[in-house]
Amino acid sequence: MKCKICGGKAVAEASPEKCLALCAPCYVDWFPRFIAETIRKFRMFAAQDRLLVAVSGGKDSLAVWEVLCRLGYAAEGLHVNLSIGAEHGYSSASQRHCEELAARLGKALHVVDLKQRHQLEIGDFLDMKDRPVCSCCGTFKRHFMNAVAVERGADVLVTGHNMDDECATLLGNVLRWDLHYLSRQAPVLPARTAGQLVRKVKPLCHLTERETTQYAILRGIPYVRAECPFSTGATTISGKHALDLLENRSPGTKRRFYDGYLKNSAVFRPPEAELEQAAAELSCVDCGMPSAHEVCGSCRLVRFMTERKAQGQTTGGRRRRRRAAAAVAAAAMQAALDTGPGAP
Amino acid sequence: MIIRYLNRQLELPERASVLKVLRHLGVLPETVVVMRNGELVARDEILYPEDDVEVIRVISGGRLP
Repeated sequence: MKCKICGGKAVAEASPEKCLALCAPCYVDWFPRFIAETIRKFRMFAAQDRLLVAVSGGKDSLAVWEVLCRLGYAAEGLHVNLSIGAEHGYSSASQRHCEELAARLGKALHVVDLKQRHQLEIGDFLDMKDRPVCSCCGTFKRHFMNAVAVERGADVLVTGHNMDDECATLLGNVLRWDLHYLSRQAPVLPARTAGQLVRKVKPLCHLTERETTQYAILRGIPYVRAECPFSTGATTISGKHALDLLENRSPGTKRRFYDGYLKNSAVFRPPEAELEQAAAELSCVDCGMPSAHEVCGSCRLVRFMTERKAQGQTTGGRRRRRRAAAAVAAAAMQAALDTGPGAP
Repeated sequence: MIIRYLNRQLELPERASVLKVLRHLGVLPETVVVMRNGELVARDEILYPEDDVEVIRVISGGRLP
């Protein structure tokens, strides 16, 4: 296969609907241009805006941070360390990769550590009744991302959600007909409540995980290849698997699914005034951030678990079983951590 | 050739294209990237018995049980 731009030997391919195979130099040149075009198309932010990029240590968030710096934006990083799989080093490896890239880019990396802030780790939430641990993880991350963006005076919060993530989320929302979430999914979520909810954008929304992986590898961006030890069987991954099967049968399915939603998503969206009113109702009494309840979701989790620990409640058999399953996953994960592209 | 995929190691004695190797593994092409001797390769590339091949999963967000 020849590079579509220079005729050299192609080593990387864009997703099928783009009909694009490129050599390494042309690919690492094309990728940031494609993101720049996405930023322009969705009017994500302006050249002078201060960006805070939420970096997990995975390929997508680190790649988007590197690209935004290449494009000349003022982009600092934020890493939320939830002490995931502390005994196997998942979170510490993730943070290490973020720090490595920050040093390479010469940019500030802000780190929020759940253990240092609240003496809690995400494993404490493994046996929450009717609440998957991934949901608690998401609540903490969204809270800290917004809180730090407000603290640091960032204009825009950037996340590394790619088209596969967006399609899997969309599929899940459609399968549940969750009109609330269907009304909120977009490449750009505008700032609300006088800047207390910072504008959020997803510059990778039209790029697949494969495209981002190729870029990360070709640019030598170190990233954690292992999956979170607690995420085995997560709903999102089942959705991704189903979409991959459809995409294989009919290339371009994901792009059509996502773009079709974006084109028609207005039908799910309540009037702007209602959104503003809903967001502005309350401020959390603990952290002061906008909240739909007296105490926000993140602070409720902290309160619940802190009280539970203070009462000395022991964990049950369910938790031990899940910990055992996590340990099995961790063994495989450790091997991947040791052999990933970013490994020394 | 030695093929590494998900902490497994397999051996294929004959030359084969990347797509054929992926079919052998039962892997959808859009869910992985393939590296030969540490370098990224396209799907139509021919892999040889002496090659060290790594198939890297690209899907994040967890794994199927």
